[in-house]
Amino acid sequence: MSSLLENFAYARPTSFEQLNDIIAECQKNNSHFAFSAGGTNLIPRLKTQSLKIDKMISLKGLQGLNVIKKQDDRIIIGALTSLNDVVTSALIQEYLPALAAAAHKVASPQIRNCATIGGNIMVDNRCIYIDQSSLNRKCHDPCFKADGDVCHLVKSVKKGDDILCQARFVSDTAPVLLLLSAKITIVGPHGCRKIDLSDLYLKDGISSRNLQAGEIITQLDVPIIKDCHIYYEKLAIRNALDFPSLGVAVKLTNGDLSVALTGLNTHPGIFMGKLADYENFDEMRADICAQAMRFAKSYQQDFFPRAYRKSMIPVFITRGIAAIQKGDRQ
Amino acid sequence: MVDLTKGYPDKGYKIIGKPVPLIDSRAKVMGQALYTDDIRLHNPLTIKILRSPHPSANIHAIDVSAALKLKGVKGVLTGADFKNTFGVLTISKDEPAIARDVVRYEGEPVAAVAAETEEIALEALKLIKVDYELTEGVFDSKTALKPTDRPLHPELGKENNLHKKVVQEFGDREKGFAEADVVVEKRFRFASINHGFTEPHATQVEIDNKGNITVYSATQVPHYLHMAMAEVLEIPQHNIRVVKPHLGGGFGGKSDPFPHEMIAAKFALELGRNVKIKFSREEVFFSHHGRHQTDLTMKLGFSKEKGITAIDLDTLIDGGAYGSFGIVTTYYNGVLLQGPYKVPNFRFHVNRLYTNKPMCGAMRGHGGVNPRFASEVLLDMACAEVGLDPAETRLKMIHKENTLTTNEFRVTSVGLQNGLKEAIRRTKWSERHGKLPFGKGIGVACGFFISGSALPIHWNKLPASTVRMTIDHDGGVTVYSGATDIGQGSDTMLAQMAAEVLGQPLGNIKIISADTRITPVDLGSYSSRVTFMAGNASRNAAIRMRKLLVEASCVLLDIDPPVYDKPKAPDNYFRQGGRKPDFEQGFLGANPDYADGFTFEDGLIRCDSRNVSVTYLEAVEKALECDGILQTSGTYRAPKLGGNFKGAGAGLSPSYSFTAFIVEVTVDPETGFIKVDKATCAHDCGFPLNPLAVNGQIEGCIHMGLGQALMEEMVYDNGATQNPSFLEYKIPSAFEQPEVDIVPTYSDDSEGPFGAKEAGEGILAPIIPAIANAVYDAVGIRLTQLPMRPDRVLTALAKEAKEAQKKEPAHE
Repeated sequence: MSSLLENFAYARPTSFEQLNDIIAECQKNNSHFAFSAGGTNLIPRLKTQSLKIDKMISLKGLQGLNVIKKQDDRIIIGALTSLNDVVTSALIQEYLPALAAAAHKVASPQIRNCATIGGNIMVDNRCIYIDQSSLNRKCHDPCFKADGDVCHLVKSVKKGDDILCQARFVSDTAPVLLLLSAKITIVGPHGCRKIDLSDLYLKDGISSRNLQAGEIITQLDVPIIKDCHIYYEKLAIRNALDFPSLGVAVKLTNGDLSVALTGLNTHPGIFMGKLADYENFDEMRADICAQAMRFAKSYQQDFFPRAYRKSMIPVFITRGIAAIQKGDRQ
Repeated sequence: MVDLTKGYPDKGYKIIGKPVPLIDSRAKVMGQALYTDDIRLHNPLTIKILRSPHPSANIHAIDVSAALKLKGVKGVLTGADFKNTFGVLTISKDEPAIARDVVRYEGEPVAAVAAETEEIALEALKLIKVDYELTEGVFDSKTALKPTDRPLHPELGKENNLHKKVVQEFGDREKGFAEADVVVEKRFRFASINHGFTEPHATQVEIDNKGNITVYSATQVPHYLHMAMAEVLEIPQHNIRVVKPHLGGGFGGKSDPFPHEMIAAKFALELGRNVKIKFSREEVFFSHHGRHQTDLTMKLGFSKEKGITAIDLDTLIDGGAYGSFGIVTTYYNGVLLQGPYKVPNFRFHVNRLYTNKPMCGAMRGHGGVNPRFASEVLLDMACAEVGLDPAETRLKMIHKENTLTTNEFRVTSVGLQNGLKEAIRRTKWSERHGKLPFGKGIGVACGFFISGSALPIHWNKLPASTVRMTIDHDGGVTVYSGATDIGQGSDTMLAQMAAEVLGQPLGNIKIISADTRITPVDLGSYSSRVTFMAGNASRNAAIRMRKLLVEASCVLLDIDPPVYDKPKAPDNYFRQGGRKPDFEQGFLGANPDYADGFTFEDGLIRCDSRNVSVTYLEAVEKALECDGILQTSGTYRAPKLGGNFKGAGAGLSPSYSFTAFIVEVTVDPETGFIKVDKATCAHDCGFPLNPLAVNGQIEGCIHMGLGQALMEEMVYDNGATQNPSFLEYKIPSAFEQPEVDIVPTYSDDSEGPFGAKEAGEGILAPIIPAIANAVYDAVGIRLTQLPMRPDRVLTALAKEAKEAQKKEPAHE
């Protein structure tokens, strides 16, 4: 693999009008384009040639998309806010401490200086068979994500099936944001819309995001929930650099338990329990745990063996609950 | 500021023993140090290598015509262009620069392109058509032992993929095991690991109008590269000049001559153009040369009274596609168990196998690391079974100074006992071992390593190291040495030698090193030989220089010059089997005394008895009068050592280092994660020439050992490297590094320069079993597979719980 990128055109619009014009032109010319915020997800994919583009459109020229502010009982976070700014923001540390903690677990300080919160909730799904150099991918027949027609993890999948790809979801910040019922604002050539973050994620490892071509996320809208405590725990062999082999966010709100999962399926899992629906807290915990275990799909595509990763789900849920009950502030 | 000299004896040295920042540190942190790829040659072509995506294949045809036609492409090479294979060991020259007809590992070069720009070279690679016939590959040691009609190296004439078999036996095993109070045996398995140096391989070749080439390369072994290149390219050695620029780490991964170096030189010669090549990180993983994947079964007999009574060892090491240092690795997998304790009855059988994977070679600690893990874990088990304290037991068993091991290694200085005693005290070992709460543990292990191999790998009668020294008319000293600074600080070490002997400030000493046109031969930076051997050579050159200046001073002062004694062995020199030390023929020998009644200090050369002096500069001027040049050389030769049996040379060294680690861990029994909280290290390096550098080596070895212990492993899928990147090959981050406490430990080796021994490799091996032994102390499991991944910890805990349940009496 070379460190040299293949040629592409580059544009850095400074307004949404300009952005839409560039997108329209690309679509007219059948020009394959990609957006770049921090570039920490995009550039490695370009280097390994698992993604080829004709044009890179930088979003960094757009003003005002990296601001964090409080609006009544909501925190508005610009999608282009760097992860480091999310970690160090006084507002987020006060009102959404688990989000700051989750952002702090991403990669390394150098990467967090460039990477954005919008980029992290959008981060590409990963698999050992696609995240290789173009040379190393030649050892195996190309998989579906590499424009081939096989999945090396699930050999029985054929073209035309609903779900082709098991590349897994790896965002650290999404589980926390999902438990907070965050909404995202999406802007595109055809206008603006606001959706629940959970509606962003689709079930296939290739077509994994519910966005039309040319749409970008501009901001996250996170409610400040009273008596809401969240704890995020990440499974990774190192305390820096690694994607989550598993990530479990636990939320306790007035006795109700909710859990969100990352790293063990093509999309995040959310499991919500109301104490009133159960005999007691333990029963609720056991049921939520069972739901999470059923949801989790573990393949041999990671440092940890598949059974081990799944077996950590109940451990992390229990620890998350204990941490919150003890008052451990993240 | 911590006083790093505290704990070591004060010998009144001016610069030896002082914490000295490495002389190139400033250049490195300022970004001014030029590494191989930083050099700017005139108009170089860029070389890219086409690599096989298949681990095992025949090449039926290769069509480079389209690539040659591409504008900007100046040349393409294939296997047909290289007739001669090469290898760092003369007995193992099995590697071609480019694969000829057969591909033996994924990533092996099958063609190379030289073009005006990197873009054009990459484009050209895409145009090369290779007709591969995929063949069935061999991917593990066990399969490699099976008979096959298609071995990887048919030239060896073997029916299977066995590369090398070594069996050595000493004493009487049966008797040894019979004498033991307890015999413990276990199977161990070790993943292959990679050096992970920061600087990827790089080479640039400059050619002049007479066809002479200068090869700038990131190499640990300029001399071996020099010789191998002349042989492969069939040109005189004298037409090749090898220069090693600043180098960002080697650890054994740059200690071979490489295909890309041969390819670069050949392009330069054929095209008459300067050329350059640098590796991506992935290419570094394909090159590999890392620690061999190992499967070993070890049986250890232990007696409360006698210590270890016997060790028996059966080992398979998976060498990958080519030989590299593998034959030496095969020997080291056995012989380095002869220390740090006596092993009276001993047998080892090690097989090295060829497989269709990137080749394995030398890596810090070499073949001694994996068996060290096994023996230190088994020793710990034996102590537990007989109820002895593992730290105190080791303390008693460490070799005494001036001992012959069972296989006739001559152990001279040993200072570990004091260091281990102090480590035991500092860590409050006896109050804590076996007494900490579940999940917390403290463990101990010791190690032993060579300070360079006494015998060269290419048999010759030259000294092991030669250093040249000159003084300019302004008094500036220049030291010329082939010694290769790979980041460990050998340049600084050479300068310290000259500065101390000649009473000069460090800044007054300039080093020119690792340039085969200018510097005398040094064999290279591997097997931890440089401080002991090049250091002695530099010291000797400085002593001869000092003699010239003393003589000149005496002429100026009109006094009689001192009468020098014939060089003799130091008082406590330990002879082996009555052999006389080789101090005749004008060689100064190792670490000679230079008390001549003069003091070189503060710019003066003073005769102590008469209290008269001249300035250093006056003496220099006088000394220059005669020949117009003030030049000396110094050498080091290892003494004749070793037994008279086949393979006696492996592991022979003029001196050995000794190390002890006490490690404290926290084990999470629910997740299986092991956290190393603290590492206390006592490393007998003889005498620390530079405690700052020694401490740096200790911290680095801890980090590297931690990696192998907890998380590093090369993962192969039928020969395809699954994790050729620093994201997926898990080297510990700064967060994993434990608290480090270093116990000053010394033994004043009589032959090491100013008493010094090695401090680069030996430190690494024992930390790994110390962690394993601490894990046993914490949660009662014996881990026998590296890395000690969390899932393996949980599996062992579950197994242990099941066994414990079985032992409990059944309840009605």
